[in-house]
Amino acid sequence: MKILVFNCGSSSLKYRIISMPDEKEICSGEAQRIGPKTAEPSRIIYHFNEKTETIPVEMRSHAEALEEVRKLLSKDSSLSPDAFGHRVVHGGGIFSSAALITGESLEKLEKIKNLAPIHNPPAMKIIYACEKVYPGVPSVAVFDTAFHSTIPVYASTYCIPRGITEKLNIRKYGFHGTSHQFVAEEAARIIGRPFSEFSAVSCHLGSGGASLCAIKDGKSIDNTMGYSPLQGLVMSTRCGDLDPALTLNLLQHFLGSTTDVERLLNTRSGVLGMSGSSADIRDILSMNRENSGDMRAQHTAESYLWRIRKYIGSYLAVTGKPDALIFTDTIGETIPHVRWAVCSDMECFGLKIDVEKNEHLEKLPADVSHEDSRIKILVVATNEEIAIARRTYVLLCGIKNQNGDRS
Amino acid sequence: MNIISISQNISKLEFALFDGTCGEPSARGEIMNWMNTGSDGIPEMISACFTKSLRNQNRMFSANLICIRVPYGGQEFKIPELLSSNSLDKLKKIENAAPMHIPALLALIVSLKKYFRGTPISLVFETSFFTRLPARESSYAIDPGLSKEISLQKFGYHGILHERSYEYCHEKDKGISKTISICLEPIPEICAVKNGIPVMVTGGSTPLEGLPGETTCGDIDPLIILSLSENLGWGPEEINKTLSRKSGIYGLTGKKMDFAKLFSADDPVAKFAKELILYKMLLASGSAVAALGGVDAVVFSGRYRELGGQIYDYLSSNLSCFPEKHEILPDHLLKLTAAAGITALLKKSKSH
Repeated sequence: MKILVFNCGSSSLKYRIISMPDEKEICSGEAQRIGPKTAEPSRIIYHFNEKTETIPVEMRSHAEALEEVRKLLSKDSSLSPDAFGHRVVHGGGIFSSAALITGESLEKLEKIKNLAPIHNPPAMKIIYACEKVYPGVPSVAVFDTAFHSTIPVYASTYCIPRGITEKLNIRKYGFHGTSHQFVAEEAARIIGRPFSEFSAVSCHLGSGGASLCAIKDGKSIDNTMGYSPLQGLVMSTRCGDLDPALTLNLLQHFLGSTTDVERLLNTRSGVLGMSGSSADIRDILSMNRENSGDMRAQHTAESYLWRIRKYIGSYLAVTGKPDALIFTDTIGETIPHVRWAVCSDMECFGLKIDVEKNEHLEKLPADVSHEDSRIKILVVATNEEIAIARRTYVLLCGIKNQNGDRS
Repeated sequence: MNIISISQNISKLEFALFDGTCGEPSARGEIMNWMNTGSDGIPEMISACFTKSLRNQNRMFSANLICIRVPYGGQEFKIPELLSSNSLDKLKKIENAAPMHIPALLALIVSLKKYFRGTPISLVFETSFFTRLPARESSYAIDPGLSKEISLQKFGYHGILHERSYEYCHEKDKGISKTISICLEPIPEICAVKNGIPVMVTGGSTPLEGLPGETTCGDIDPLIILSLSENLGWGPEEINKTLSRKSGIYGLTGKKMDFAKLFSADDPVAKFAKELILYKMLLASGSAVAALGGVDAVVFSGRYRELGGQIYDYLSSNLSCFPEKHEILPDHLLKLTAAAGITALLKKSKSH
C-alpha cells in the first residue's frame, strides 16, 4: 500500500509517499512559503529516485500547494497513492486515535478547528482538497493529541470551576504526540526494553513549536503544551507559559479583542517577541556565540534554555526512574549547545552528558550520555511521516479485515 | 520596644503587637473585608483591640514602631524601608501595577500617620526578595516593549517567608546553599534559593500564576482565557473574578475549603483535589531541583506548614535526591514582618 502522508504547517506542506508495511520511502518533499509573498520565493522541494529538485512556483494557498504536488506526482505512475495520512494537530476530546475521514468525522473536525488556529485549518484545507482531487482514495487523520489521551486526569485538569471545564471541554490535551511516541519507541528499541516498560522524558524541540513529554511505561503522562499548543516552552513565535493575569491585561489592552491577543501570543511572541530580531533560536544562539553584544538576544537564549531545563526537572520527577532523556526535531537533533545547556549540572537526577560525544555527533540515533549517567541521553531523528503512515496502514487494514469478515 | 505588625491582604488585614521581635505577640487581631469599609477607622480598631488585650494583662498599650507587610513593591523596593516622602512617591509610581494593593495601602498609611502621630512606619515588601530573581526566570516570552502599563516581570509573592526559610536552614548548617522553600499559605508557592538568591519561583507577575490556591487557578493555558471570553461572552473582570475567587480548591470541589481541611478530607472529590495539588507541587519541586542543580534542604513555612510532613513524604518518594528529612520554619509572617521592619529602622538610625 502506498500512503501519501501530508504534514501541514502554517506556511508549509511536507509530503512523503511511503510503501507499507515495509516502510520504504518512495518520494518526499516540501512545499515551502505557501501564502503571501515573502523575502524568498515559494518553492517545492521534490526528492525522487535519489534526485532532488527545487522548483520555484507560486502557491497562494494550501490547496494550490496540493495541486502543484499532485502535478509532480502524476509524472510517474508509481507515485499514485492508495491512501492518504494527514497529520492533524488537535483532536479535541473527540479523537483519541487515528480516524478515517468521512462526512461525520469532517463535521467533528470543523467543530474543533479553532482549538489550534495555526494548525488545524490548513490541515483541513488539504483534507478537503484531497477529497476533491482524489475521489475514492481513503484519507486518515492522525492526531498529535491521541498519544496524550493517557495523561491522568489529575495532570490534565485545570483548576477552574468544573462547570466551565465540562461545558467548554477545557483540559490539557498535549501535542506533538505522534513525534513523542515515534522517538520513544525508537529509544526503547535502542535500549532494548519493551515499550510497555519504557519510561522517558522526550524533548521535541522544533524550529517552530516545541514540547516535552513525560512517558511512563510506554504511556504519555504529561506534556508541556496544554489546552492548545500555546502553553509550555518558549517557542519560535509562541509565548508558552504566561501569568493568567497577564493575558487578562492584554485583553484589556486590546480592548477585548481575543483575535488580537491570540495573534500576539501565537505569532509575535516567543523567541521573536523577546529578541525583536529573529523567530529562529538558531539565529539567536549564533548571535550569542559571536558575542554580538545584543542583550535581548542573550536574554532570549537564556530564557529559552532555562524553561526547557526546568521542565526536564519536572518530568524527571514525575517519571520516577526514567530510562532515557530523548532529544529530537530540528533543534534537538542539530544543536549540541542546547542539549548541553539543559543537561549540565543535572547529576542529582542521575543525568550526565558526555561533552565530546554531544559535540561530535556523526549520525542518528546517537547516545550522548556519559558512562556515569544512570539515564541514557539519546538523540533520535523524528519521523512523523513514518509514524502517520503506520497508523494509517493499521487503521485501513483493520477496516479492510472487518469488511472481509462481514462479507 | 512595642512594635505593631500589620499584614495587608485583599480579604483581611491582620495585625499583632510584639514587645520585641522574639516570642509570641502579646495581642493580635484581624479586620475582614477592610478594603470595602475604608481605612479611616482602622487605627482606632487596632488600638482598641490591643488596649483591651493588654488591660487583661494589666499593661498599657503604646507603639514605638509600625511595620506593614506589603504584597507588592515592584522593582522600586529592594529592601524594607522606613516611610518617607520618597517612599510615598515610589508607591504612587507603582499604583497601576498593583491596583488592588497600593491605593488601599496609601489610604491606610494616611490613617495610621494621623492616629499614631510621630510613630515611625516601616514598609516590608513580599517582592523585595525577588528583585534579585535572574532575568531568565523573571521574564515572559513577550515583546518587552509591548506596553508600559503592563508589568511583564515575574515576582514571587511570599518573599519574606522564603528568605527567612533559607536563612533558617543556612544558620543551622552553613554548608547548606541550595534550598527549596515551600510556603503553605492559601496561595502556596515554591521557591528555589541558591546562596541566598532566589533562582526559581512558581508565582508570577501576580499570585494567580503558579500552584493552585484555595480559590486561585494557578497555571493555565493562555488560550483558555480567550476561550472564556469568546464562548461565555465574559469580560476581563468576570474572568478575573472566576480565576481568582472561584477556582483552585473551590473550583475543583465546589466547596470553600482551606488546605488543612482538604488534606484531612475523606470524600473522593477532595481526595482528587489533593492528588492534583500534590502533583503540581511535585512538578514544581522537580523544576526547583533542576534550577538549583541539586538540593541541600527542603523547608516548609506558612500557616499550613504542619502539612509539610505529609507533603514531604510524597515529594521525597518521587525525588530521590531530596535530603533525608525536611525542615519546618517556626516563625510566622507577622513576627518576620516586625523583625524586617525593625532592621529598616536600625539601618536608618545608623545612617544618621
